[in-house]
Formats: sequence, C-alpha cells, structure tokens
Amino acid sequence: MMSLPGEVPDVSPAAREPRAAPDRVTRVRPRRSGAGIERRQRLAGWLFLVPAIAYVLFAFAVPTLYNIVLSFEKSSPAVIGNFTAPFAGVGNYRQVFADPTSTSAILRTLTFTAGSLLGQFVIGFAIALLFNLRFPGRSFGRALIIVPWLLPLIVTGVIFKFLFQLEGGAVNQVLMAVGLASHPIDWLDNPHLGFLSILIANIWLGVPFFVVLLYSALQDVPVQLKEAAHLDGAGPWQRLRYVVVPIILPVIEVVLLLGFVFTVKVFDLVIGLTDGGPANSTQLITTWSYNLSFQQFSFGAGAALNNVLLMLALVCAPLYLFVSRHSLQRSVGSDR
Amino acid sequence: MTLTELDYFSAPGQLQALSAYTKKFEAAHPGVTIKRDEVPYGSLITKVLTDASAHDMPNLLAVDNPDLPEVAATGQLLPLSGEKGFTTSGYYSSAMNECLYHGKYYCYPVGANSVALIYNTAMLKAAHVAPPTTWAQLVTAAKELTTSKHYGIAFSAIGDEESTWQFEPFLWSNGGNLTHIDTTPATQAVSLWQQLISDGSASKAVLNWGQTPDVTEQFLHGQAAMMVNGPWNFPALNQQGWYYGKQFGIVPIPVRVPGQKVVVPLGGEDWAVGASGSTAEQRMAWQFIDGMQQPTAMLQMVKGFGYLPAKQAIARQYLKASGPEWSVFVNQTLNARPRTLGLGANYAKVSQAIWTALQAALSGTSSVSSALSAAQSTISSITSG
Repeated sequence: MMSLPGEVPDVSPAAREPRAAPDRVTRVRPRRSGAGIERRQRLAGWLFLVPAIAYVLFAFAVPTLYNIVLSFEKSSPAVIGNFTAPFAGVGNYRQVFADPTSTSAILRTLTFTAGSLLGQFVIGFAIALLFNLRFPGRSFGRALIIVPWLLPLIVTGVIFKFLFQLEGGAVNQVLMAVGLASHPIDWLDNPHLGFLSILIANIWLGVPFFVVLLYSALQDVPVQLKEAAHLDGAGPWQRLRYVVVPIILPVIEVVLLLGFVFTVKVFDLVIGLTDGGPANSTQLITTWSYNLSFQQFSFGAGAALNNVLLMLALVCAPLYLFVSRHSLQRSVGSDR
Repeated sequence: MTLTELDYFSAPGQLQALSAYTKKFEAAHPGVTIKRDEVPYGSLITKVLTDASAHDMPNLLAVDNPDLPEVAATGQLLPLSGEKGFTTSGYYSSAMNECLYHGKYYCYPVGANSVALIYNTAMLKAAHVAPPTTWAQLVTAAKELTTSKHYGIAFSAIGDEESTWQFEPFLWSNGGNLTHIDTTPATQAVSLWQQLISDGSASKAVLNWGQTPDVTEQFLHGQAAMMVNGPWNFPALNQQGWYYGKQFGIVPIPVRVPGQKVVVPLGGEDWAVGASGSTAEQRMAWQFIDGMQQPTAMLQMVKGFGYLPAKQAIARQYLKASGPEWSVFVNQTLNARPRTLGLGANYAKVSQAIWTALQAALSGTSSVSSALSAAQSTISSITSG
C-alpha cells in the first residue's frame, strides 16, 4: 500500500526494546534528578521545533495575516511605500462582491476546478488502467506520461498559446487538415473557447499526477481478489466497479482533494495562455486578484479577493485531514 | 558605481541607440557601469510599483508617459526640478507636461511619437485602392484589400494600454473623450473596429497582438495591407528594405466624416530617476539623462528610436535631415493630446476600463453598448472616488 501521511508506526518488539544501558553514562556523571532530565529533554524538543515554527511563522502566518490586514486597508500608489494605509472597514470586500468581474472570477474558479478535476480524473484513471495491463513499451509510456509535470507552468501556458493561435496555430492546422473545421477557430479570442482552452491545458497538465497515484494504487490491488471475482463470474466492468474501485477508493479521495487544492490556485498557466482575456473572460480568483493588486494597485481589493480563495482552501484543509484519516483507518482495516 | 536601468524597449533601432549612448556615457565616466534590465511592456509598471513599495527603485527608468503621474505619486521618484542644469525651456510644452506632478518635474521625455495608418503601396496599387481618409473609405478599402493570403488591416486590441492608445485617435477625432465613454462618438468608434473584424478585413487575433512586434510583423510579412502604428517602426522597416514612398506610405488615422480634425495621443517614454539610490547614484543617474539632452546625443537617440525630438530647435534640425515619412507624424504630434490630461494618476485605471470594453465588444463577450456602459460605470467610480 502506498505511504500516506501519518502511517501507522512500526510497533515490532525490536523497536520497543529499551536503548542499551544508560547506566554507564550516569555512573560517570554526577547523578541528575529524573525531573531535570525530563526538563532538558523537553527543552531539546522545543529547540528542535524552532526551525519548523519559524518557517511556518514566516512563510505562512505572516503573509496570511498581512494579507488579512491589507484587505481592510485603503491602498493606492500614493501610500504604496508606507507600511500602513488608512483603514477601509469592509469596503474592499464590498467592492469585490459588487464587482461583476470578481464575482464571475469566483464562479469561474469553481467551474474551472470542477471541470479540471472531472477531466483529469476520467483521463488519468483511464490511462492508469491502461498501464496496469501488460503490453510492450509500457514502462517507456509511463515515463513519458510524466513529461507535462516537468515543464514549468508558464512554459506550458506559452506552448498552449502557440498551439491555440488563430493564425497558424497547430490545433487549427490539424483540425482543418482532417476536415473537422472549415475555418480557423478563435480559441483565444472568444470568451467561451478561451475558458475551454485554459481548461484543456490544465487537464493536460494535471493528468500525470492522477495517473501516477492511481496507477500505484492499482498495483496494490491483490490479484487474488480479481481472480476470485473472475471465477465467480464477474465481468471486467463488475470487477472494476465492485472489487478495484472500493479498494483504491481511499487513494481516489485523497487524489481528488489534492487535485482540488492544486487547481483552485492555478495562476501561471492562465497568465501565460490568455492573461485572463479576452475582456476578463478567463479570469480566475488568482489572476484577477493579481490584476487588482499589481496592475490596478488596489492592494486592498486584491487581498480581499485572495481571502475568498483562502476560505475555499480552509474549507478543504479539515476535509483533507478527515478524509485521509478516515481512508487510512479503512485501508489499515482492509489490510488485515 | 553600478547604476541599474529599467525599460521595455524592444525595437532593434531603440536597443542599438540606447546601448551606443550607454557605452559613450560609461567611457566618459570611468568606474560607472549601467546595468540594463528589460521587461515586457505590460509588466513594466507592475515591476516599478512593486519596486516602489519595497523602496528599491532602479536608479534609472523609462516609463510610458501616461504612467508617470502614478509612479511619481509613490514618492519614489527624484524630482528633477532642482537638479543642476534642469530646464523646461526649449521643450514642447505638451511633452514636458507629462513630467509634471504636483508642481514638480520628474522626468525628461525620451522623445515624442504618435500613430497613423501605414499602408503597403504595392497591395493598394494591385487592388486599385486609394489610401482611406474617412471611416467609410477605411471599411471599403480594408474589405477590398483582403484576400485569401492577407487581411486588409492590422491593429492592436490586446489587453493592455496599447489598445487604448490605438483607439484614442478614433475616439478623440470623432469628438469623444475618455471620461464619457458610453456616448455616441465612442459607440461609433468601437463599432468601426468591430465591423473591420466582422467583415473579415481584420483578424480576430488582434485581441492578442501588441503593436510592436506583432502588428509590425503582420505588415512586414505581407499578412496585412495596412496597419495602425507609429514611427518607431521606421528603423525596422528600413532594415527590411521597406522605404517610404516605395514599399510603404502613410496617411493620418481616418476620420468618421470629412472635416473632422485628427487628434492623436502623445506617445513616448520618459526618463526618470529612482529615489532609492545613494545621493551619488542619483547625481550620476541625473547626468545620464541630462547627457541625452545635448543636441548630438538627442539626435542620435531619436533617430534610433524613431521618435521626434522633444526640443523644438532640435526637431526642426532633425526634420530637415530626415525623410518625408515624418510629415504626417510631425504635424499631428505637435498637436497631440497628452493621455493623462485631466486624469493624472487615474489614467491607467480608466485605460484598463476602456481596453476591457474594447476586448469585450470585439471578442463577442458583450454588445458594444453594454461593454461601453460597463466601462462607464467603472470610469465614473474611478473619477468620483
């Protein structure tokens, strides 16, 4: 089974054996009280925690808190260099929810995430099932499938921009050559197709993640179970539905959840591909919040919108913890 | 001493002129190195304002002139008014006005430019089309110039200031203005652009084309018979063997009805000094800019940049020496309208509302009238608050 966070610790007798003879040390040094040792150990424990706490504080807590502070400030280029700006109350949040571009960016982020996860899961699962079969060139294909993962997101965005170009883009050339289109399609210059373009690019990008995790889960499905089901007369679909899927369900849940977190914060890809256009028709929360903050210099409104994203992610974090613990228990149970 | 310099120049002539001047400056000031940093047009203002918030400005920066007030508002630019040798006399007042913020001057212009309609002489001849002077002629000409091989016209409707800048001559010449964008003159102007696309005379890809190099490339590769563009393309055109009067011609941006006066925006960048560096760095940066104001240096710079000199005396001298391709640009640039007029630091936001409306109407996201009324409500809230 694959290793998940919080895996059950090794409880074999060897691991429980007490550390070899501490008496020799204590004999040489002056005797310390048990409480003193305990205090020293606790102190050492805290010392070991310091780097981790410092990291979380500076890399996560400070930016997050600063973002929350910013979202209640009235900022402008004139106060950009100062550390604080006038208090704005909930003005920025009111502005965000009154701005049709912001609200549609929020809705679009949700549609984009749902569409991406659906596409990535269906295609990723299909490919994982394919690689679970034995055929020549399987390992080469498996290595190849990871390529999208190796490319920087912004590069992927620019590559897809070239592919989807109206004049001379590869997608249009191919569609016209095989007769699927009679004239070039305005992928990037049309509000609906623009959204489809970022969706397609993001699905392409996310499939390897699904393939790799689902494939390794499929590898762990005991062959005996499938054979037993086969002997009992279950067809391929039934074996998948009633044997394989229930076994790998914990992995599916975790993969979908992580996929949600990855997708909801997609940014570079859209910047490289459409830059939120045409006419803001492909703006997501991330790109529009960037635009508000760094192109219109409404840091307050940008921060407020960003906090909406934070809320979405926060809803997900406990859900992830719940699902992973829950799945872990189930998979530990199923191993027995 | 190392001075950092930030700009978005990308035309080959501009890069050559800038690097030639930099080399001379470095030779004249031993121990001084200019470290150039270049970002794409759309990213420059973002980078500058981010640097401003961190109090870490480049020593030297060239910003598009409508952005100057916004940058000056951060307090992170050195006022040049007090620097030794600073003067506004002898400069075109419209160009210097772009440098003025709250009573102080913060920059010197790199030069002045504007846009016009540049056409492919051979293609117009082949289609028996005369260069258009009115919108009706423009629509007909663009249609007749469109073949299976190329489009009639190319312009920029990309999602940044460049599309507002290209749109302004159409809007302003028709009597419209930036703060009342839901009015008839604006509707007519957007509808003209929309018709060029719906007729098939312009590619819908204009939504993704910047004016340089995208639109220029379309024109140079024979993919478009006409383009809305400016004189900074002359060096590139000449390098490719395109010369005025032979391969290409220029007419002013057509007006809706005969008799309307062509009003173009005043283009060009401004040199400014960042306030973050040491006093010595600021003095040296000022000398870098001041050196460009000397007649020989200014002539060399504007020639490479394809701009008009910002000093009247040098402009006269320049025009005597340079070719007739300047005639359209000179006349209109001298009467060009500064983009920030009446808007100041708000221009960037107003411009974004307008280019968003252009993109919405041209991409089919919404109708011309609803795109413009959405823009109007944004603009009203910007100008009122």
